[in-house]
Amino acid sequence: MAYSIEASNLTVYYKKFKALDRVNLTLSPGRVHGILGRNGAGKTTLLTHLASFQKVKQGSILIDGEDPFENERIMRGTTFIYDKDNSYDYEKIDDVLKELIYFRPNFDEDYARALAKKFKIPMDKKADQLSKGQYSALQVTIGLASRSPLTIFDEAYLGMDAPTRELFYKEILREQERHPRTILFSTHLVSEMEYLFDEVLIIDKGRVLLQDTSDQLLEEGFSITGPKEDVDAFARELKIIHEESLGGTKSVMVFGALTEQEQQEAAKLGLEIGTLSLNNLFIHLTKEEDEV
Amino acid sequence: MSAIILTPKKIARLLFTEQLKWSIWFLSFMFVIYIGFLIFSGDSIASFIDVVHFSNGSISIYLFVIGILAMSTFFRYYINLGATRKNFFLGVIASSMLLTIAITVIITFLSFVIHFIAGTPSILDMANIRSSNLLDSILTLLQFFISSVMVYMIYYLMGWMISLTFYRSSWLYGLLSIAAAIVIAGITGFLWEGTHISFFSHISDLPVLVSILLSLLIIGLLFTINYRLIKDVTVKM
Repeated sequence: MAYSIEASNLTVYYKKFKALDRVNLTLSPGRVHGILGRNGAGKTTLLTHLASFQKVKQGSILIDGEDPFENERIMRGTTFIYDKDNSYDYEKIDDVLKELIYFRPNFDEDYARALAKKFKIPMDKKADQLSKGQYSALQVTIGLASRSPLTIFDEAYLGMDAPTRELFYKEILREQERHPRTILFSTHLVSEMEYLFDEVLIIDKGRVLLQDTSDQLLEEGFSITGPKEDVDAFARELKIIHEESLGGTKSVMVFGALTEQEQQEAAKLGLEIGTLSLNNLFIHLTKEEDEV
Repeated sequence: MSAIILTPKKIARLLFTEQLKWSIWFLSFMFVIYIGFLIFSGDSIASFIDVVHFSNGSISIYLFVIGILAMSTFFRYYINLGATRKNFFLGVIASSMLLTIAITVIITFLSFVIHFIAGTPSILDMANIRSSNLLDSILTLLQFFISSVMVYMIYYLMGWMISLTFYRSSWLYGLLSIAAAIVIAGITGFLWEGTHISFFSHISDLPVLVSILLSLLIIGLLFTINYRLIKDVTVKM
């Protein structure tokens, strides 16, 4: 079971600051969605509204066809994992996992224990005794083993070391095969996670900058490398998001699909056409003027 | 095993169980202090104070603190588990009622146990009912029971109101809620003797029925305020 998500004209103000500006989006059920954005772009604001942590004041949200706010069915089916402080969490890890059986309809305790073992979370300790990375791993374990129709991970990996993060990503892929659900994943670590995402949503300054499937996005960006004059001439009409020169050679990153004719022309000029990673697209589409 | 849906009833049961555990610890400590008080203070004081009157003030303050903790300890926990605000609110209301009743029952029971074992005054002695009239005794007990439950309930709801206001709004509104709580505690003191703050206590001689009705009104008002504060509150992360 997986929930679909629709938001229309979602606008959020924090006093006078506009955190989200007329956000419209449709996230298909049963897929992993990467929610990408710079610091302060509005990712967490969007996610807290989807998780019913905040009430929508302008615009609307529909999850599985219903308004999620104070909706028993939707809230029960939503798990929101975020960076939490464990200083005042005195529960034993073993009890934390045990009691989730009572609250999450699809919680798989055996799987949770197997995951905790993989993540090397000490079961006999209390939550406040865990390191930052171990506590994040515990939260991620809860998120995965709850098997909620809507699972939201908001920068859930903070403090986790690289091998643990890798393990987490692999588990997401395995779990999606076994029990597909809608997973929203907000992150800065685009380069190491981009293979996880079925669909990508890039938010910038409170607005949706891009929303597409990962495959489609990879066809939307190109790098063109060759002699400086040829590259300049070829890319004159294209949307250049980044350029670099070294001696007489120039490389530009272009956003937008190339027509077949353009590709033939590039080949004729001896220009090298490459694909752009999601990370490059993200970095160069969201950079500020003064960062060029 | 099927999962519990976090209905008000289920939340109430879970909250009540947890808070009752705390309360038993609290009452045990208080009981030990009372026993120590009896042993070391000599006959002069022990002869005119029973465990109920000894503990009345501290139980109100204890419930006030528990009311504060209802928000800071449990709210995020249950919302994270998928509960709605409304179900949490109803769960807290039901559990607080059960808790105040349970504490009153426990303390009354303790009073009679000590009365029979150590010969200290009972609640009835404190009300100056020396007659063997059973009806008077029952009425006195009933009045004690109702007034205790209501006062405790008001203190619990006041603590919850203050923590809710600080949780939801700025410190200024938080301070205003403390001021409001002082006024409410004063009015409660006017209605029932034995609270911490009391306005016009020199004219406090209201018929019990009026006190009950006005207390119910205060409780209803606090329900309304607290629901208004929680129904669309932003959950802090």
